[in-house]
Amino acid sequence: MPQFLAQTLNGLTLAGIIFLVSSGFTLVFGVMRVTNLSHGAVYLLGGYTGYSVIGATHNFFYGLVAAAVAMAVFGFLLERTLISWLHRSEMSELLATLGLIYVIDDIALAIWGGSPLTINLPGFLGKSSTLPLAGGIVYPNGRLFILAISVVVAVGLYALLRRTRVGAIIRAGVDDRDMVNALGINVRRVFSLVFTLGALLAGFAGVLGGTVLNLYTGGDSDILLFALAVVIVGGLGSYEGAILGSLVIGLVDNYGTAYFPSVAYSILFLPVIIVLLVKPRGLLGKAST
Amino acid sequence: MLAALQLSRRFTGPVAGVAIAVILVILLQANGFTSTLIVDMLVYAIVAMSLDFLGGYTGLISLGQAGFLGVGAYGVAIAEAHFYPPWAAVGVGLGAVLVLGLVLGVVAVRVKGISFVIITLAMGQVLWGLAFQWVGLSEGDNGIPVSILPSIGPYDLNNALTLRMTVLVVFAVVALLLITFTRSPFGLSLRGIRSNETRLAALGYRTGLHRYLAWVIAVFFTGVAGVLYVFVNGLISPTTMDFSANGFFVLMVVLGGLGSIWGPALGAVVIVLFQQELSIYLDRWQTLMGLTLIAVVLFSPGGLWGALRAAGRRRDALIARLQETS
Amino acid sequence: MTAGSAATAGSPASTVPALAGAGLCRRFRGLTAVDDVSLRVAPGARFGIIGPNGAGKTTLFNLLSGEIRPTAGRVELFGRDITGLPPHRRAALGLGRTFQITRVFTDLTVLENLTLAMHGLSRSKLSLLRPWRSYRGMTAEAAELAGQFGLARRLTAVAAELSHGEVRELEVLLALALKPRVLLLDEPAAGLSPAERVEVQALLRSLPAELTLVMIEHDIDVLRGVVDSAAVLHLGALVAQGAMADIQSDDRVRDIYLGRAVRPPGTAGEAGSGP
Repeated sequence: MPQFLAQTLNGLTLAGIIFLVSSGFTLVFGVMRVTNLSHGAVYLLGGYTGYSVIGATHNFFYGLVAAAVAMAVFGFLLERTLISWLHRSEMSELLATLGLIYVIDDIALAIWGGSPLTINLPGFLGKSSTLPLAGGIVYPNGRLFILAISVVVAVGLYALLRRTRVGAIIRAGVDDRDMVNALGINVRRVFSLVFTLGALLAGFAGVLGGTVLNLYTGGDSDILLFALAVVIVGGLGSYEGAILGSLVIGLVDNYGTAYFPSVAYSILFLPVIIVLLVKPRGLLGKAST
Repeated sequence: MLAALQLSRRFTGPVAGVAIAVILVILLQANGFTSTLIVDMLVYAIVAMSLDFLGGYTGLISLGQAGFLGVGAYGVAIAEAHFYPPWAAVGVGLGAVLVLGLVLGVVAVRVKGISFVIITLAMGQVLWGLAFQWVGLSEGDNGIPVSILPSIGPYDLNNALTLRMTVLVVFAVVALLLITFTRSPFGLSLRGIRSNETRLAALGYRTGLHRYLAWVIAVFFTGVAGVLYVFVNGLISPTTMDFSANGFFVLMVVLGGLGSIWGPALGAVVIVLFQQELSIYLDRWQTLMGLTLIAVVLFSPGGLWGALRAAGRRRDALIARLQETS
Repeated sequence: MTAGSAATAGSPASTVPALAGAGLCRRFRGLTAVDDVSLRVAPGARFGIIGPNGAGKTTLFNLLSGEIRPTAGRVELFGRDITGLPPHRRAALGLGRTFQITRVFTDLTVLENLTLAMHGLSRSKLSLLRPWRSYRGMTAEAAELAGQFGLARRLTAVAAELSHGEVRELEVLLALALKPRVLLLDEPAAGLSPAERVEVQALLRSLPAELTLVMIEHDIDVLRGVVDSAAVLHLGALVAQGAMADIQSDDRVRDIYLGRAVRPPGTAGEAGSGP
């Protein structure tokens, strides 16, 4: 039982990291209809950036902020250049961002090398605590920290989407882009904002993910796969779907790795296949496009 | 001048085809680096052409094709590891990929466009995951070697020259079949699906069935390439079917030109050159490859084949102008 | 001549109608787009479904063609219940349709467009090994069809290069290629210039007499001289049905088009205001 509880907490931590990546991916798709395959590469680049900044400053939080800001700038520039050049040709954007993966991965390989890197958490966060659960299991504080941060971000984003004018515009964009155009809102700025925000979250997630998952060449396609699985399960473009999907995928992956290691990676896609057969647009996807 | 241009219009295609065939046959005679490179190109070209049949004609771009190459290859390797005779192993490889194509097709045809890309990517990763993690079946990261190739009478694939010629023949057969398919009423229906599926359904087409058949054909031919792959390389390991490999195949198709069959074959030639030649001289060849893909998407959506076709059209326009003046 | 009555001008009630809808309803999330509509179209009739924008015409049309399933009610084609059949099965039974937002295969040539349509109801559409150009009968027929409507010289043109009016003609030809017994036309003159409009009207008048035509249109003028009977739709419900001459002199129809508030029969309570 304590073992199972620890696995559940591990799954929730993973779900948190996956959520930070997939929420940006799904909002970008929802608002802009852009499938940014390089989103995972942005996560990895964020992680590496954080690693270097932490190495130089010896402060974990500087690294966290630096990675988030750097990736936000990167996302902003990417949206203003490549994405806007291809203006809304869905397949071209997908293919161009596929090309970008090779470029980012290769440059990251040149700078940070091929061996896996781990980001260490500072002080208290690097230690473990005895939880007052199931007879007191010992659990790393860092993972609980990640879990708490993702919950805070999830609630914050939810408030942003539900309570603010910008959020209302973003939601309207997901539901009906022509409507937003017709209302005379500057869609370009909304696009920039959403894309930048998505990249910021991915960079942020990269540093957090680097503390538990390692940073390595190819790690970006793993995290991209998680994000894609999440959006299929939750529904492409749905924020609530990203939360639900992250929980499903995070938990399933972790139980799979713990209990069925030889087919873990494939079990991950069981929910994907089931959802596709039963509800092709995802659990919380829109009824029609 | 006019006569020369008209001759070129009539004969460029056939002459180029025959010339390339002759050159390939000559180059494949000798053992060594060149023939190895060409055989690699031919095997990858089969995958790229299959992918084009699905992506360029039907509009369904698959990012999981390397997985089916792996299924064909692993089918052979695992069967041989369990002491099946070589020909039976070939049957296992092709059978496995056909059954898998038929089954997964049911899921794949439920979605289109971006969702199709994502689903096939997921399928490809599942297959990679099985090859990587299911060590009991797949030997994991090490892969499985195949050392005994099929033979019947004097026809012996263990002979390197026979194997190379077989790869060339299979390539030619697959290419001609795919070209034939694209010119058939069925091929026309696939282009109709890409152009406007709703309209096609109103014209009496069960479009889901057409997409399903196109999928099965593409998956099966990719599996055929997988069987050749494991014979040529003597080993199949998970790296052959990872995310990066899937990207390479899409790259070949886009670089060569979607919807032209020969274009993606040309794309395979270029990408294999990148991978095996350029990588010797240039550390950052992957960056260059990524940038190439971005550049093609931005500036030349028709790819290399599109550029060749444009040159052909300019020649035709010139012929028309000359005919008018004369 | 009340709404829901089963009489179509000039046909005895005993004739099996070419196309009939009985009690058709379609609701979208509480909004009733089509409300208990029944209509009968006699074989060979030229039938118009008219009503202002937002009257539910397109939804009714899609219910008949099978793009949408009704919440309640039945659709019959020559007496056969086709309510549950998907569009491609309806096409095979002789129900053709055109689309308001023109849907031709833009990256295919005119000949390829028409050939595709020709193969639609033949088993040859699944043929893999024989070039489509070698089906001489089909391509000749396609060329002939194009010739009837002035597209003969445009056979090798890619559809994307055609003029607006030519595309509209191609659209109708695609539907005709299946030799339908009933042809549904969704605002065939929408977005056309007055000159092109006259061309399309002429095209429609020249269609074979045994073909049953059902057109939806918000502009009554387009239907003049083309249809002989019509049904009037308002706020999702049928207001009138009958001969075109009667429809045009019907007070309620005039009220709808002149913008006076009308309470359509069958909808309880909530009568919206006219456009």
